[in-house]
Amino acid sequence: MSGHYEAPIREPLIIGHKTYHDISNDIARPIEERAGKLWWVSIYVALILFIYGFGCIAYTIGTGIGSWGLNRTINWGWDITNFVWWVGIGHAGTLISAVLLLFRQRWRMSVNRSAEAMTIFAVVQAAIFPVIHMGRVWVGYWVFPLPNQFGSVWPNFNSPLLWDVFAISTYFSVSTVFWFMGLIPDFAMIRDRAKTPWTKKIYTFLSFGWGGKAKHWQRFEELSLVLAGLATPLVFSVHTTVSFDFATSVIKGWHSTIYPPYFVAGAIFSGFAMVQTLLLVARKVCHLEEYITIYHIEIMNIVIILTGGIVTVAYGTEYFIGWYSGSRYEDFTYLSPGAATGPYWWAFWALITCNLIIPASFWFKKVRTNITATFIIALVINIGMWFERFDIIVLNLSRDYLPSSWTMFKPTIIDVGVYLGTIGFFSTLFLLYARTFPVIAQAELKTILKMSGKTYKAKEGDEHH
Amino acid sequence: MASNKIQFRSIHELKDQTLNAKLAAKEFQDEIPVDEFLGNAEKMNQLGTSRRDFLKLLGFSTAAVTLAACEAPIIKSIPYVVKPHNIIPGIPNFFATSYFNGSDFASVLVKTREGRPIKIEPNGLAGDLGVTSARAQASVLSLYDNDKIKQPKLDGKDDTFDSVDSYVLKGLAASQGAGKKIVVLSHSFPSPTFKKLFADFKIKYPTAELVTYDALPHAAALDASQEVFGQRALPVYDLKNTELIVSFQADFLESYLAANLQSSYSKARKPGPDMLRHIQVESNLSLTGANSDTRIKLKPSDVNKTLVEVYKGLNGGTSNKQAVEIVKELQAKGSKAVVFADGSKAAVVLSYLINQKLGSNAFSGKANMLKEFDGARYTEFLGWLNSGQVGILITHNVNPVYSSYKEQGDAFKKSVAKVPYVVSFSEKKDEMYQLAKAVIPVAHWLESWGDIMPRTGDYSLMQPTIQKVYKPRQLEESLLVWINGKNSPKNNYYDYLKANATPMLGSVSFNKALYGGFNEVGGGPTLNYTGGNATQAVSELGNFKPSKFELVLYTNAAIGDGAQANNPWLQELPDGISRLAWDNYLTISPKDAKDLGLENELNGRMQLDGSLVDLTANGIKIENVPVFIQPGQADGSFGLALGYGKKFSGKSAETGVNAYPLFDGFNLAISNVSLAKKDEMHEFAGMQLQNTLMGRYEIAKEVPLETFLNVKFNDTSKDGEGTIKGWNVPLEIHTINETLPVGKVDLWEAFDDTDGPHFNLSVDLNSCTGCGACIIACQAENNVPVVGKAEVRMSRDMFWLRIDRYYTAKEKIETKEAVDRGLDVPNLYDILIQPNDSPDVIFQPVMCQHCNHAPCESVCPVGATAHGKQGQNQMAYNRCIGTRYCANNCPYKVRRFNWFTYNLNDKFDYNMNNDLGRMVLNPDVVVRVRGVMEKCSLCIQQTQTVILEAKKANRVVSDGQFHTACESACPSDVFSFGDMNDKSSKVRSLFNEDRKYVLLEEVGTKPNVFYHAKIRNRKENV
Repeated sequence: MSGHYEAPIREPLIIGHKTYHDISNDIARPIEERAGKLWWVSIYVALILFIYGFGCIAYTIGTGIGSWGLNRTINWGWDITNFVWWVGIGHAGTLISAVLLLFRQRWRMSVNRSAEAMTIFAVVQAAIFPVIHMGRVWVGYWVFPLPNQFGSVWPNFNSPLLWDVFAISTYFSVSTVFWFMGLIPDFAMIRDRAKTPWTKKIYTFLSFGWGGKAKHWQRFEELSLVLAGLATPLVFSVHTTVSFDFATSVIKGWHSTIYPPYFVAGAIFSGFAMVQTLLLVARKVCHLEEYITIYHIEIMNIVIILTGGIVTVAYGTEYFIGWYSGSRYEDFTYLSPGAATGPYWWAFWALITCNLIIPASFWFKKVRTNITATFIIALVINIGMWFERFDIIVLNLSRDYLPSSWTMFKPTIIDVGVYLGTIGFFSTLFLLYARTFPVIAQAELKTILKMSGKTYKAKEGDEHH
Repeated sequence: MASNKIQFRSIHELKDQTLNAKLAAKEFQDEIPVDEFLGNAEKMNQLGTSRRDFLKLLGFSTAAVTLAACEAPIIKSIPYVVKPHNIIPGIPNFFATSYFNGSDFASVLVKTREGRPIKIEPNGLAGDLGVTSARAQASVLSLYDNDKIKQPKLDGKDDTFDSVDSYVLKGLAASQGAGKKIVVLSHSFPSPTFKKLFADFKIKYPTAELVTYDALPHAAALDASQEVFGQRALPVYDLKNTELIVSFQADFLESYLAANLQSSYSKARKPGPDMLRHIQVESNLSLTGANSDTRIKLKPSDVNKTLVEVYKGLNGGTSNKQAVEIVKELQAKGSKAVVFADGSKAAVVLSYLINQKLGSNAFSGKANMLKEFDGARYTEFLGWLNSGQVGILITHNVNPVYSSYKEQGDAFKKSVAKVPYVVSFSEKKDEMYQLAKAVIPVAHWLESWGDIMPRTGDYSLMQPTIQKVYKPRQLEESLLVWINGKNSPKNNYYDYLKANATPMLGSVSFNKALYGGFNEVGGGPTLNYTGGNATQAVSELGNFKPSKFELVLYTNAAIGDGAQANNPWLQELPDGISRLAWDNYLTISPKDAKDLGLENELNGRMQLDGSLVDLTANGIKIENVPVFIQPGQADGSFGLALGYGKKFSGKSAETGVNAYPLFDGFNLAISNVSLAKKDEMHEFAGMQLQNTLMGRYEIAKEVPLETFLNVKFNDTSKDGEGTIKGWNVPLEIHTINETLPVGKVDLWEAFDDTDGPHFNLSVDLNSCTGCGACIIACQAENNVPVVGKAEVRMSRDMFWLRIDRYYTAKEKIETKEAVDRGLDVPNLYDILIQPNDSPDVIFQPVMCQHCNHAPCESVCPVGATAHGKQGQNQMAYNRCIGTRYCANNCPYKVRRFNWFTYNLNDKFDYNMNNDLGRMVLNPDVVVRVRGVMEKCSLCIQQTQTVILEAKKANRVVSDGQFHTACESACPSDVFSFGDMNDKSSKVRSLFNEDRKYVLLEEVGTKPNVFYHAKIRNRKENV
């Protein structure tokens, strides 16, 4: 975090007249204080959903995948839709913490901790689906290249699904390490303020004996850079690999070379939307308005404009190629009853509306600096991106090569339950996180207080003029 | 010098020199030598068991039992203590016998494993009588029907044959004494030995009468035969040299004149200048009509009119435009033409007379004797019943209460109550069972001895292939008991049969005849045209009054007359045309449906719902009939299948509505039909809900005969309109550098397929009639589960082989004017999605295509599906973890996932849920567990057996020895299966034929299954 000077023209990243101590107090407050009513209500709701969802999962494993709405033609439905959706959501965190670290974007410091937490929790949800969608979960470990007694039976390294296994597990482990590493100085801060013996013990354990020595800081900085370097390609590789599930297939609407960049852009698009959704709530509930400012929100909205733009161009390209290819099948999939005017027209237009039309309003500064508007649009994008995956998976399967096989998909109550369950699980994790973890990387934030804090910035400005 | 040395092989022999001889005598002993160690009571008593020993044993066994109880239940396989000499475990035995269940006949081979029949195969010796329909294929499952009556019954309680026989003998004696009639009411039973036996019975009991009753009696055709040929036997047609068929309502690919002409039809339909042309004039879109070249849809009254006009046209003149064209064609073909007509006696008479006029060479003069119903005699019998003349009624596997016209069923019930002694041979606890005092379970044909004379000069023997599954007894054996008294040594029907059959067989020994199953013995009636009153027939046809709506009853290929309605395989076999399973329904034309406000809707799962109606005809009301809108149905006509809605006959048989009350036994067409719409909707279980090809004509290729004969298939020159002339031009891919054949552009390296056999399967769309025999054969061979109506409705059928049926859309986008009108742009898919109101139909069997570059193989994360050395795409069930990625990536959608546990699961209470039903399972094919993917294996269990046999015998497998279940079962020779590395193989020569194409070739999957385009012999005149 070199340099202590920042041009006065840049907006301050910390507003209010904060001192180092204020920051410590503000960040530690949700952990040290008792939970409010809202938190309890939220966690009850989340837990109920979570338990219901896991009941549905248990039922599925007990009776068979037939308890979902799938059929012989549409063999993936909400399961893989949800998988891709959650993986997509889990994209913003690492992008913020790794890529923006390398690009020295200091605004990331207020949001990276929660974004990363969201990433990890979302990847946990995502990982549930490929596991439970297997017909025989109990032999699911066969996807790992483990030494075994079956002779030389080995996974099939040609399969994109196997690539997924590696991509997701790598992404999950690197993100977790990166996240945890960043937490160490903050845990130490909580430890130092802890008043009860158990709190002290737990945070002592979690902070790995952090002492705040110069050497510690040096190692911390070095490791940050190394991990950021490792994590950066992962940001792009995970969703690229996920897109290969579809792109390498022969099904029209899946078989498309545009998928890797399109999926990555889409993932970041949805990831940022989810960060917005969560942070706008956390900001309010944990009183972090002075750390997560309108400026932060606006800058993330600009990322959404950019990635949303890429997605829009990708849609256009797909439809153009659908027409240009001259293939009756391709043409049908993109431009016909297969999509816009077919039985799934509502899903198609939900996608177009939620991903292209509504987010375009962020081009107006008034909209993108408006908290309510941002919150609503972020939610809409989350819905839209879910529909995007649903459209890709279900629509294309439902109208495939041989018309005799055409069917349609409708979820069962179990499908819905599993999905709600993951939302519940995710919310539970996030709510627990918000009460036990420092939601802002305060140690890092303190490094920029003197150049980006409003008080100091104002002082500096005085000196110069 | 003689040696006095003792030679011995063991110390025991040294002690006792005679030991070897003793042992040798026992070597092939058949009985278990139980007596030797248990027989000596004295010795047994001497063995002292002390209290301590007892306690020790008790303690040990308690502990052992406790320990054993901790283990999972084990289903024991019990080895043969003494192995039967003709059974080698693991090796199937084949027996020739006759499939005859009162309604259908076929001479068949039965494959048994360890004493269990598991599969029906055609008997090649029997020619067209040896082909197996779907019903014949499925009949093996009816043997193991768990809903059957398992015991003889008296007064509704389980009892012994002894007491049932006492009851019957008492009844026989009483009737005899009172001079009352003894009536055996049986389905048609064309068995010479049974006839002889009944004559013997009549000698013993002079008042005995044999009366025939059939659910589907073919009475109209029999009466017509009586009139035209002077005999109650149906004519046998052979289409070998026929070049034109004109059929009026005759569904001769399903059942016409109690025969199925599929095999000779498909032979005559081979593409070429003399290809059989088929014109069908009908109301319902039947399987036969779907195969025709020209189909004229008319309501029944108009079909009659056209038939009359054609008759008139041939005998003078007609002004009817369609009739004129038909007459022209008939006259041009002369004796090479044949006319079929069905539905009423008059129609059949006219068809006989037209064939006489044409001198049709399809008429063989042979007689089909499978049907024996005589309306007059049956009426006479009902008279006896009502007037109390019947002393004892013995019914044999018939159920007039279910299958009678109007209130006649109920009337029959009341009349039977007047009979003092009622004995019923029943299969199920049906209405006849309920009426009878004594019940004897019907023996299935697979557990019976018998003989059948199906037609002139042909003689087919029936032998049991299994010990009786329950305690049934066939009618013949029972009659012997009632003639000779209980426990007489003469009560063995096998002896009786042998004695009677031997003289008929002439020089052939009985055993040899039994071995072959089917024998040509000569003799029997021949049919000659001796009469026929055309004028009367014409006026009778005129008596059928046209009305706004008319109904035609029909039977479908799966259920037929309903004899096997409780067979879940047949219930789940989708109808070839509608592709609906587990139902019968009223077929109605799109226009009538619109007029009457009747609807068919697809819901969000693409499941079909149809309006329900109450149908009234001739004062008979049938409630809650579901309506299915059928393209190709003649306006003003409805269709309804018989054989459904059977109560008390098992769970599977209950589905659908019973249409028999509408059927008077003679006329299939009914006038004055009205419908009343109900508010509820009916849920259908459909296999295929998109009925057209959506302009993707390359999937199921069809070529007009003219084009096929006159244009080279790969002619790339263009006609005046700019369309390429060739009708099967090889696909090319335009790359940036050059244009290459589609197979040459490839990312993958080819597999080495030169070593050993490389299997290919050829499918000829021109021969496929859509009958479904292959589907059942595949199901039986490969243990494909039945999933039930609800799951079929969820589009989760498990068929490894399906027959797709496509209707041609309203407009073809290949024609130039269609392209000019912009029919290849997206918004006009709306036009393509709807079938034409008079569609052409094309059938396409689709199974795993066994791609050389299979999309499924590369995506499986655990390598559970892999390419076999012999060209198959193989599926290792044990390795499958069930991600279903393979099924998603399959362009043909032939993979089937086990959504649930389908065996031993009460939610799927079909044959695989009970021990008996599971006896039909093929031990060579594993039953798949929940959560794994399955699909066609090209019957690898059969090909491997052939290869191993050849290997053991150190010979090369010759062409024609490799078979798949579908290929063996097909009556129309649609499939050819064989080794492509065998230069002389049939499949290899078929591969190089002009009509060959590959399904979805541009995807680059390089399948080992290929198709032959359909040829339609169309003339745009009628």
